[in-house]
Amino acid sequence: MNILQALSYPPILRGFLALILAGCCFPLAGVFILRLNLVTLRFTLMHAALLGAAIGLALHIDPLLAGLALDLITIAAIGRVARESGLALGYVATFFMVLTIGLAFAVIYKAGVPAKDAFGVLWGSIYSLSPVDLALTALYSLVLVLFVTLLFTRVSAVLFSREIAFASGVNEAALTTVILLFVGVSVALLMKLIGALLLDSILLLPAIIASFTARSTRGFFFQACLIGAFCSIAGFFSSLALDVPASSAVTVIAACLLGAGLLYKRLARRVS
Amino acid sequence: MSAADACLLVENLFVTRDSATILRGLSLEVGCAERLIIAGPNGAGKTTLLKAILGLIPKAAGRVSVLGAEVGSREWLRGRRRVGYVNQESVQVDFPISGREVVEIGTCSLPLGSEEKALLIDQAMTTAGCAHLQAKMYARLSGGEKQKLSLARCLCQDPQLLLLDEPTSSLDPQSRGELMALLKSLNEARGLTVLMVSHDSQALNETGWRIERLEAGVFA
Repeated sequence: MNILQALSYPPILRGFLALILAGCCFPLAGVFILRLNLVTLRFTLMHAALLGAAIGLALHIDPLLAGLALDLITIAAIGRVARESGLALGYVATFFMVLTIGLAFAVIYKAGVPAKDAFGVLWGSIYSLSPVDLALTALYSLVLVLFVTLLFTRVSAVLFSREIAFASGVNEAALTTVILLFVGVSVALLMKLIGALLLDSILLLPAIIASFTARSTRGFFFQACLIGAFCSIAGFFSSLALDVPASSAVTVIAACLLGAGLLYKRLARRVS
Repeated sequence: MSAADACLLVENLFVTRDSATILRGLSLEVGCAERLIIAGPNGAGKTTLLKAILGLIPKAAGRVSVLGAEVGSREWLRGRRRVGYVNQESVQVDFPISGREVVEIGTCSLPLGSEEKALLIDQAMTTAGCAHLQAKMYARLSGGEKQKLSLARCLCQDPQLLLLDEPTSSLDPQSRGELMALLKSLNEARGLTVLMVSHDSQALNETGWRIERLEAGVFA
């Protein structure tokens, strides 16, 4: 079967479109994660999604929706606790990371939820997306792009310095919470799309690679999205050609680009 | 001096952190178009005072009034951008951001169109002597260049009060002199009130500045 034939199958076409959308747009959230030191947050959200799934299964609610809901609640709680306590977001995220996994195992045990069903929320597949999933991904991508584009100056103020943002008249607390929510939804959607273990290949690695060459915040956002799009498209077609899982192919390509980026950085330092 | 007349009025301010009292019943009046240096050793509470004036940290007791509005009030929230702030931490920022984008932050809450903002940014950067730094990456600039960009950012806000936290700490003598001259010219030409905190002993030699010494949370 050639690629065009493969794309004639609706599940494969949906997966391809969702992967492109995610690759083009979700690295914007990766920039937020890098700058606000939220790398721990994605583990926190994985654990919160697991807790949500366990609660959902216990209450006979869709585990994916329950996982997403708990992700959003966790994000809001992290933002609030960080503000009230003055602790760094990373430390608060670590606290919730530990808390949610502990609670998840407690719920799984006490409610008699099959563990593999709860853990199923962490494994994704681009070929199992429904038309609604694709529409949701498209809508969210649009909202994320509009958020960064229309509020660029305020967003870059928060990323530069939250104190300066506040002093410049920005509602820094509200904007930081919104940014955290975008991170949360990005992680939740990517878990559905390519699974929890590999979501860094679309969310984080493109942003890290872009940080090596970007000279401005606009450039940082743009390059992260360009790299994300390249990894997604190249990964998808590679996976069809080589008969490997799409998420793995995307990850290997992103990792290779990261290696090339590190080499570039090293060479650039030697030259200067 | 009443709150309405003073640019900045601090009355019996107490600020605590981790059950330690950092500022102890501080009172301060700063008139409009005044230039003030608050000098003192590290740990005296200088940065804490600035942050309390900006509303960045809560006060345990006392009152702070900026441009006639009590810090924390709705009136103050609406007019927050009338206070420009140059902090110490942003000198260490290594996030990819260009010189122009840093200055652009000062236009965040201005109700202007994109062309008007662009013109404002150009004017502010020219005034601060950093127009040539527009496309440069902020993290790779010298301390003096970063401070000029920070001043340009503040100028975009059209401030009435400028608060600077250790602005000369990372500067060589020439850059330091340039910065002080720029602050003086902004004060004289625009009537901008300037309040600077510094542990730099050379700051005490500046003429035309009122000097207050802060030690262990109280004015000496």
